[in-house]
Amino acid sequence: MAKLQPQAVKQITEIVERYKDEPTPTMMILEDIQKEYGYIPLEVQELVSELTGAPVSDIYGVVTFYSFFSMVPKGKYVIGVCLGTACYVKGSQLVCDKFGELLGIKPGETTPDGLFTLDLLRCIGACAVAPAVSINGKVYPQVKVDNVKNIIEEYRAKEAN
Amino acid sequence: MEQIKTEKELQAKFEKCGACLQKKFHCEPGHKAIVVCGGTGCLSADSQVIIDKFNELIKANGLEDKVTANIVGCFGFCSQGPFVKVFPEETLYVKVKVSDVEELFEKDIKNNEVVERLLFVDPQTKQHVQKQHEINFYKLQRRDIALNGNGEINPEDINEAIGNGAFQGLNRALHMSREEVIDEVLKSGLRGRGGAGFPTGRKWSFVPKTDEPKYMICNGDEGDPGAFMDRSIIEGNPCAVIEGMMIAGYAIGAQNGYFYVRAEYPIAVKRLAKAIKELEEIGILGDHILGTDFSFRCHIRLGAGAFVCGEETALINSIEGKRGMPRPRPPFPAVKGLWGHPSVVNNVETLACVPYILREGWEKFAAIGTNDTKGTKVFALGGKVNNVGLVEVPMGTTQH
Repeated sequence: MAKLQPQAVKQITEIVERYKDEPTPTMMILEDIQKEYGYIPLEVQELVSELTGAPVSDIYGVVTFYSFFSMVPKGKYVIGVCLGTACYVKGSQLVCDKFGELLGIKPGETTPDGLFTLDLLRCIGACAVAPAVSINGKVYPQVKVDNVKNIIEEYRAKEAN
Repeated sequence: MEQIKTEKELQAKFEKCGACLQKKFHCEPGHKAIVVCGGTGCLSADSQVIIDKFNELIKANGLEDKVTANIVGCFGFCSQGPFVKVFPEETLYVKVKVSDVEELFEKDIKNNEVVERLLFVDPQTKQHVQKQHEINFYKLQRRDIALNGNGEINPEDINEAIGNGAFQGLNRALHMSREEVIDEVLKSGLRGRGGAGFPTGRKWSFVPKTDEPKYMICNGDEGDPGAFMDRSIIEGNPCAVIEGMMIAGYAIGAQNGYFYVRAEYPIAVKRLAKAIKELEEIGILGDHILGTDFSFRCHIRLGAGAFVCGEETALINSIEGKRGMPRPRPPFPAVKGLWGHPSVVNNVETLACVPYILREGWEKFAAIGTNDTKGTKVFALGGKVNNVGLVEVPMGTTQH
């Protein structure tokens, strides 16, 4: 097992400690780790197993079951394109393709600079403003293929500053 | 914050906050109340910036005593958002941009002049329509049951919810026996709004009357594409869903309730968590609610992106920290659910209807709808339709 940084061990222990009074805290622990680090590698799953007493196979099972958990690092900005029915009929597939084309990645992949991950989302309930794109939780309404470049530029500019 | 530990304190607060709300909606000359839609759709179109801008202008003009501006839940007419509504005239402005705020403030707020170019234009008559209830889209609707408070009260202010009648249904339920509450819901004809349409009162009645722990679960894992009713209900009036869950908890003998909400609904989660925290602080949630023996606590669990967790047994597995795989039934959750104990899983909209039934009585709810299906239903309209948004209509209303 690859060695985790002592700082990471400390932080993960703190996260587990947070939910010590909960009867079944696995999901809550994993959600916090995913939020903090952007992914949950095997070493971390082993540590959580050690700390909670849950078999690592169970934790692995949970991590791989839910689409919010990832075992590979995600980019700083996770671009989620909603492919729910309402968004799809309003052309979200084309929006998704454009993001992929401009970033040079396929859905599920992260740009080499670690800045962007392109994700496909199931309906996010923003159907009234379809097609919707959610970037780290911020919803962009009625995104057109022509807007895609500007949205990416917005984040690139933010990084440049 | 002042405590509400008895029925008397609740009624005093209801009267006080109710009067505040009335004063806001029917304010005297020279006063104005601005509300801006804070639903997901409108927020994505900068409605928060619009409110901030209004508040800035109120401050800059020294009008803090006369003008207020706050967010409210979804107006439902999402294709026309963001909305700005100005009381007491009830003027509804549509598709408002941040750049329009200054003009609105100068003309309407300061000089009582309606800004015509921002009014809704009726597609048939091409006429400007000034007030919300005059718009055709709203005429066939009644938004006072599941969507109660949406577009009117501030979802981040429990005082406005209490002034709007929140916890009056709970108060009445606590004067009844558990069986009477179940009977009331049974007679109202309320059916589960999650899709299966099972009579809610019957579901509650399956819970055995034993001493073991029991759990209420609210299914907010609204995953069907195109549906955003539950999202808007939690975002627009979280207290209504909490009250519905408390009434259900009382009826089945549960002391704990779990909200299972999708992680994709961050605004709903935030507002729900805020409401739960504040209700705990004032004592409406906790031990000896309103001076009775009833104790109840609410917890939030986030979904992690698995469509199947909308199925109740998969949802229970997910709360238990397992893969969200459905369990074979029987045993049904009412007998053996969360952590092996009797549990009832109800949908968000179902629970949002419950306070109305207890507050107004089953007869009023049962008078709406068709012979077999009572009450109203909220529909989300999306895709290639003219009026994208959220409508609440009596059961049995046809598409035309």
